[in-house]
Amino acid sequence: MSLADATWQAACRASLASLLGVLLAWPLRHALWSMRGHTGGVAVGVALAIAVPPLAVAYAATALLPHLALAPAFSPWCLLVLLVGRVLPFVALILALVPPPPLSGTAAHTLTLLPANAPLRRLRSHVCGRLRSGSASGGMLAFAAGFVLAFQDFELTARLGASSWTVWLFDAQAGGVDVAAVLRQCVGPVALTLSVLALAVLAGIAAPGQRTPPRMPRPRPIRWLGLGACLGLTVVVPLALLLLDGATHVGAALRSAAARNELAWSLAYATTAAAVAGLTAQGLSPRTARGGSWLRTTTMLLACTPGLGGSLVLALVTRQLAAGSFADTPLPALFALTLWILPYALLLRHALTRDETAPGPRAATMLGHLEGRTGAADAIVRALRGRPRLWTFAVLMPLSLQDVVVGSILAPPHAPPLTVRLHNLAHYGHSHTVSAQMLVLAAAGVLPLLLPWAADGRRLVAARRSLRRR
Amino acid sequence: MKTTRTSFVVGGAAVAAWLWFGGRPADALVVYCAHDVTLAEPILDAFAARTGIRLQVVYDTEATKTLGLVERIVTEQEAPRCDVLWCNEPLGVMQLQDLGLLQPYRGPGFMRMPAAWKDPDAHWVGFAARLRVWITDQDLASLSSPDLDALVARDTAAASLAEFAIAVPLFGTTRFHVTALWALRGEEWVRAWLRDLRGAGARFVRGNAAVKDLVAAGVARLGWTDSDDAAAAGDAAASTPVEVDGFALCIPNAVALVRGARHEREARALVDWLLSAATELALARGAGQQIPLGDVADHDLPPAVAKLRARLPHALPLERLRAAHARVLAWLQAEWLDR
Repeated sequence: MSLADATWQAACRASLASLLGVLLAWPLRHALWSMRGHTGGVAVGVALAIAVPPLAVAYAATALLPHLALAPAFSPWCLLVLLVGRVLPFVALILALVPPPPLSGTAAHTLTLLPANAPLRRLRSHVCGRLRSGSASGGMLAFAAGFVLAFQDFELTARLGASSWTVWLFDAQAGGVDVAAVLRQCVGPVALTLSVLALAVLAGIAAPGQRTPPRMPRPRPIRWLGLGACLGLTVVVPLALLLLDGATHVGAALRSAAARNELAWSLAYATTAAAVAGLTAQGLSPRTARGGSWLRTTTMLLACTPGLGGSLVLALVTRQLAAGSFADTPLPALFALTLWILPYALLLRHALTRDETAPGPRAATMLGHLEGRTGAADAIVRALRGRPRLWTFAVLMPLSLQDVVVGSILAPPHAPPLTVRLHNLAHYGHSHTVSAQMLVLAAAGVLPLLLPWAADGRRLVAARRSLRRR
Repeated sequence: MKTTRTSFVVGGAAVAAWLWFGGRPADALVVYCAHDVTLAEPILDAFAARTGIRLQVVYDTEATKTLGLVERIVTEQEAPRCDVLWCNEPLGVMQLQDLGLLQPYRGPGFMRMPAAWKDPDAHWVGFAARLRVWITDQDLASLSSPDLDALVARDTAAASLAEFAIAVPLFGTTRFHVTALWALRGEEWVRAWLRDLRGAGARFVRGNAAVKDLVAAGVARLGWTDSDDAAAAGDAAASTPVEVDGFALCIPNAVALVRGARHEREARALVDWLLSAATELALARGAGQQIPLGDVADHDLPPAVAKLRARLPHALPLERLRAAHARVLAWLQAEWLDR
């Protein structure tokens, strides 16, 4: 199969997976927004879905559903469901965190009523109105993030025997094709991803937002059924398998000095890459500063470009560039990992920093000054402005913790990440040790996702105390 | 502005910390190992415990394949990191030898191995081999390799090969298999054969383990894999050694010293350890059921391994593959990747 055919197939699959992800994630927005009472369970579910490595999903899927996953008639559908499950939590988070537009739904609806002479005009005006008002921009950002994630997937696609440009590139590289020739072939897929991202970002720029809580939608059985199936396959089944198989062996698995060392390196790579990518995205995000947004947008899209080639391409390029003095250090792996997650960091920051321009912090400051309660106002402002940074880090850290390809190609012999070992061991089927170590990896991915909630709670408590003291 | 400054300060501090803590310990022997981690790790751990030599092992993964480690050594040739390469098939080390990236070593291990399984100039030495095998469901267990060949030929003619599984031939031991067919039956035959397989709907999967999984799960009836993968299937599948024009396809592990190795004395010690009878016995008794190539008595071996070992005198000589390898690779790249 040619690269063009493989790219086309992957693009169709990624579009469908991302679209389904957005549709299924829509009802989760309210739950993620409030994170109180029973809806806290949904939030925990999404956090777990982000933290469960695709490696564990493939490990569980092929162990528990070998006939279904491997049979030719079912494998494309299995792959689609797994990809929807993979993109769903990221999409849900973006949908929940992107503020809705200032134009109300009623106003947007009124806009569509004005030129209602012909169905086509009505539809066009509806779409234009949605875009102008920005109500579609959150969906587009979420779709773009889901598309990038699904389009770049290698692990699940290869495991289920489907075609994709990532599999083609891997075959070319492992088949001994010259690296320069492999890299030249990446232009098409990268350009395609970049255009999807550009569309989403431009739609987002047209829509400055103001946060109001989304309403809880009425439950629709088909939607919840789809949601349950996807999250079941990508969260419940893998976690259940890991817990049943490995929970009682965690201690034994961590007694191995090699495993402890590799886990420490995994955490170090992931934490540093997530922090550096988050800070870089903060500096580049168009909404951080007023004015000059086109220049920033262009810079942001350019900064995204290396990461859009996927982790394999990035690792190969970095290996060529870092063949000299830094080759014996973990820096090349760190560099490649950071560039790989930068597109996600930029998308997240782009979505989240719209909070910073919202009137909330300014209103809090003004009220604080008027009431003479500057301490409480500062606490609220810090809570509002610190939240995007924590969320960016919290999502990026598990994502980089799950990398296999960059680690296997670039990590120096003395600093290997745990995922490379797990990838190797999972190849031989199930064992208590592998399940236990995967469980530890998933738990390490959940911890940063608890940070924003913990910080929000702490800051709100501090603000309330400060107000009471006054 | 403040954000940019903060980013630079944090980024600078992170790089400095990583350079400080991430430097490579100078005394460790670096091993690139393409053999299965579960089988290789106990052998290497035992060596480290016995000699006190610290090891840093980079294992092959499905994400890089054997060729990944070979490519890595080619990329690093100006400043080699690897001291010892433990490859799970000999074509990779032959390629490195042709590029002049290996250094010869005639130690006790080299002397122990028969001439058929080593480079006469001692750039690499083979040990602990696998055989290419047919893996089938139990209904086909009684068929011989020529019978299974005939079955596949019949299904190919009927364009109904969906129950035959084979790994993508671009890499690994399936490439070794295709290279052997090329060497024995010629270019035209192999080109037509692969075209017919694809046309008849044979299932090409990502590796030999996937072939084993398909047959063990009952999704495919038969396929080609390696004897260690077939052993892992247990009773869920049967296996029969592949026979091509009377030759068995035997794929030894190969060990080599990388030119410019920084720890030559320790590297030689490891090479001799891997080529010892004790290591071959351990690999034969392990889950991979590797076939000893050196002087190990049959009665010390598990029965299944002793049975496989009986095929060694009929194995295709490795030297016959050397000339065909580069041409097969170039053809597979063009054919498989549609370049």
